[in-house]
Amino acid sequence: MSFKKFYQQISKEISSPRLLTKPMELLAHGTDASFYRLTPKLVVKAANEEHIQSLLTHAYKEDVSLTFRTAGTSLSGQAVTDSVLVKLGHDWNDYTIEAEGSLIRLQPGIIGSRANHYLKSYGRKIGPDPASIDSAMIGGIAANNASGMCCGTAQNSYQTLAGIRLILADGTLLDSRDSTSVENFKKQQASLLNSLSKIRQEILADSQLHETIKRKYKIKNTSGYGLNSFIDFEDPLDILLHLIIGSEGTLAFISDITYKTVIDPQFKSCSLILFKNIAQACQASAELKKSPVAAVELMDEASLQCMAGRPNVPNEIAPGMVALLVDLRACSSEELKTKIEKVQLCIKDYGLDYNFTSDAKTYANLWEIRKGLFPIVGANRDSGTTVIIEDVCFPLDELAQATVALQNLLLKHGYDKAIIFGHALEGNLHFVFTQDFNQASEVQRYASFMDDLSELVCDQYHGSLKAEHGTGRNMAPFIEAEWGANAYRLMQQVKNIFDPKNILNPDVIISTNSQLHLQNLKPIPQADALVDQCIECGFCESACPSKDLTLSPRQRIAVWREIKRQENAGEDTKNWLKDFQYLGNDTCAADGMCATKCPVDIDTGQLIKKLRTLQHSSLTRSVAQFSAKHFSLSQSFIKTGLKLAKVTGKYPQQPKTKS
Amino acid sequence: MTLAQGDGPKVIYFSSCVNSVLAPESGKSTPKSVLSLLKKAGFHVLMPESPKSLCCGMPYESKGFDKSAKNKTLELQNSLWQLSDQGRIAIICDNSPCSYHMINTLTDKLKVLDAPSFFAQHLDLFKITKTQNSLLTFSVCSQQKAGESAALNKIAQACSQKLKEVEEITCCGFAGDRGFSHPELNSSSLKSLRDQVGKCTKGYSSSRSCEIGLKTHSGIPFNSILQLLDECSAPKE
Repeated sequence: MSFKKFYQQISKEISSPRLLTKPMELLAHGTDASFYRLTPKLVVKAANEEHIQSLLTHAYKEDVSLTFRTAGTSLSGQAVTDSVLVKLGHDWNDYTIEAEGSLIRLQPGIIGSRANHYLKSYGRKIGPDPASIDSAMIGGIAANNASGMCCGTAQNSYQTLAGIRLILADGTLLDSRDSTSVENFKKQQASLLNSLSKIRQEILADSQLHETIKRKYKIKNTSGYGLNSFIDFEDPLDILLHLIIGSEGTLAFISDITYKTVIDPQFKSCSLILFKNIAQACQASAELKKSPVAAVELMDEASLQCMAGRPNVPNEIAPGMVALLVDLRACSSEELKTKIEKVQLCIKDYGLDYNFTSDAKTYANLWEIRKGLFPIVGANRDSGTTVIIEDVCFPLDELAQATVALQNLLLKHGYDKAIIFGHALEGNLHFVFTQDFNQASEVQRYASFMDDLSELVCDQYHGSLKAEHGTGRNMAPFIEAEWGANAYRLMQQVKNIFDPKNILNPDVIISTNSQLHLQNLKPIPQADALVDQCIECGFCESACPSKDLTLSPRQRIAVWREIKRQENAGEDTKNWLKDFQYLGNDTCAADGMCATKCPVDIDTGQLIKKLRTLQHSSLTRSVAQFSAKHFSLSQSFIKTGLKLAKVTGKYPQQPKTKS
Repeated sequence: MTLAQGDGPKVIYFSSCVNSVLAPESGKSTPKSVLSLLKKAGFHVLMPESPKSLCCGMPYESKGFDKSAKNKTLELQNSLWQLSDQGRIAIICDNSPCSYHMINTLTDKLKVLDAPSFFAQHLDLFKITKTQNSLLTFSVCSQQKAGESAALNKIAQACSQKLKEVEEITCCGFAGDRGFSHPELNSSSLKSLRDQVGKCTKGYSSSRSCEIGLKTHSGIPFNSILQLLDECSAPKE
C-alpha cells in the first residue's frame, strides 16, 4: 500500500514522457481556475482507456487517489489534488455524429465549442453552454453538469444525456449503448445496482425528502450528487448513468458520452432594458419566463456602474437601477419577429423604453456589456488578491428579495465593490468580489461571509449554494446544511457504493473536513505587472502552440509566480530557473495568441520577451546590435542556419540569393 | 527586379527580409509575385532604396533585443517616411508577421497594409481564372490578431472552388526562426495538421517561415497566397 509501488507499476505500463514528476511541472499542471492550490505527486497524461484501467487497477491496489481533469476551467476546486492528477487532452478527441446530427458521441478532451462546430452544418449544438465553452472540455462539462446563459435546467448534460461509456473505481467498464456491455455489467455489478434501487425505495417512501428533491431541481443546482436521478428513473442503470453527470470525477471515469443535441437557432435579437429597481426587474423576469425568450441576464447597479458610459449604457446610473439583457433566438426572421411581439406584449404594462436589435454589431456590443463584467472586476483588483465568482440560486418568486438580502450581506462583510449579475430566468445569481487570502484576518472575513451566505441561501430562501459551478472543495462543507442530514446521508452512501476505497477525487463533494473550503488557498504573489492581473482561468490554453509540449500561458504565469514567491521567501530558485529556461522561456512562441483569449488581455509572450531581454549579457547585446547595424550581412546568418537545418535533414529547404 | 510604373495610384512595396532570404517552396518568389500583381493592376510602385538593410525589428524584439529592435524600427520608419511623402502613399508588406509588427510599431501616420489585405480589397482589378487544385489555407497568428483572416480566404475563394481551412491550430509555433532551433514546438503545435489535409494538394498562407513548418507537417507544399493570386490572375482587359 504505497505511492512508491503505485509509481513503479505505472512506470512499466505508461511511457515516461506521459509521466510528469519535475516539481515545476507538478505545480504548473496542478494549477486550475479555482482559488485552491494543491500540488500533485504525479501528473499523468493519459492517452487511452488502457492507461485509465492500469491507473485505476494500481490505485485501487495501493490506495492511491486519482483526480481526473480535462481543461481545468472549473472554479470550485474539483480538479486539484496532492495525489495523482490524470490529465486528458488532445488524445481524447474522437467524435461521431449520429442520427442526422440529433446525437453526438464525444470523447472527454473535445472543447465544447468544437463539438458545436462539428454540429454547425446540422443547425444543432450541444445543450450545455457554460461561459467557458471555448476552453472547457466535454469531460468537465459532463462531470460538472455545466450550464450557462440559455441552457437553463432543460438542456444541461443531465437532461440531454443519451449514453455514457464509463469505468468504475474497480476497473469495471460499462458502455450503456452496447447491449452486451450492459448485460455483463448487470451481472457483475448486481450488488451496486441493487444498492441504488434501495436508495430509490427509501426516497419514494419518504414524502418529505421526495418533495425536497423535486423542489431543489426546479432551479439550477449543482450542490452534491444529483439525487433527482433516483426520482426521475426507475431502472438502476439509468439512475447510475445520471448520477455520473455532475459527480465531478468522484464516482467513475467518463470515457465518452453521447448527447442528444438541440436546435441552434441562427436568428438573434436582444435588448438592454433598464429598470428603476430590482423588484420591477424581477417581476418582469417572471413575466418573461412565460414568453419565448432564450436568456434574461440581470445586472445590478454595481455591475452597471462598472460599465457606465459605454455604448448603450447611461453615463449616470441611478441608485438601485437594474438592467435586464433579454435575448431571443429563432430559426427564421418571421419567427424572430413573432417572438419579439410576444415578449413586448408580456412586459407592456411596465411602461419601459426599449427596443430589440438584430443588428449583429449592436447585438454583440450589448452582450459585451454582460460578458465584460467578470473580467473588469478581475482587471481592476489589487495585486495579490484573487477574484471570486460565486454562484447561488434562488426560487424565482423570491429573487428580488434575495438579491437585496445578498447585497446587504456583501456590504455587512465589507465587500462593498461586489457586483451581482446572473441568469434571471433561473434565479441564478453570480456575484463577483476580490479577496485577499494572504492575511489570516481576510481569510476569516471570507469564512464568516460564507457561513452567513449558507444561512441566507439554504435556510432563508431554500436555494442552491452552487447553481452551475459544481460543489468541489468550496461547497463540500456546506452540502449537509443545504440538503439536510437525511439527503446528505444518502449522498455519502452513493459515494460509498461507487468508491468504497475513496480513491476517486477524495474530499470533493463529500468531505468530513468542515474547514476544507478555507484550506490550501492559492497564493497569488506579485510577479510582474504584465501578468499580475491573471486569474488563472485557463482560457488562454486552447490558443497556445506549446501547451502540449511544455507549458501553457496560464502555467507559465503560475510557475513565474511561484518563482517570485520563492525569491521573496529567500529560497534558492536556481533549479526552478534552470527548468524554466526550456519549459517556460525557450519553448514560448511569444505569438500573443493567448491575449486574444484572455478575459483581461494578458499577453504572456510579453513577459517571456521581457525575461529574454533581462537574460542577455552585454556580449550578446553587442552581437545583436552589430547584426542590426549590418543587417544584410546578418541575413546571410539566417541562410547559414538554414543550411545547417538542411544538413540535419529537418527542413529540405533550398535557400537562394535574391535575384 | 523591374518596378511597375503604371498609371494607377502610387504604392510603396516593402518586402520582408524573410522573403528575400528564404526561397519559395516552388514557383515564383513572393517579391516577384507581388511586383507582378502590382504591375497587372496598374499601380505605380515605389521601393525603399536599400531594402536589404531594412528590417521591421521583429526578429530582435522576439528574442528580447529591445534596443536593436527599436533601432531597426526607427531606421525603417525614417526610410518609409520620406518615400511615402510623410504618410500620403500607402505601404504594403508581403509577410503578415512583419506587417503586423510594422502596424504596431511604426507611427500611425504611415499607412501600412498587409499585402493579402491590400489585394483582397483590389480583386476587381484582376481577371481571375480559378485553379482546379484543392487548397488548404492557414491564417497565421499575426493575421488572426489583426482580424484579417478573411482576406486570405477571400483571395483563396477567388482562385479556387475547392478550399479547406486549417482548424483548431491557432499558431503554428514556428515563431520566426524558433522553428529551426526548437522544431519540437512546431511539431507539437501542428500534430493534427496532416490529418486535415484530405484531398488538398497545395497549401497557402502569408508568412514564409510559417510555411516551412506547415509544409513539413502537412506533407504538401505551402506557399504565399500572393503567389497563388499571381498564378491565377491576368490584367483586366
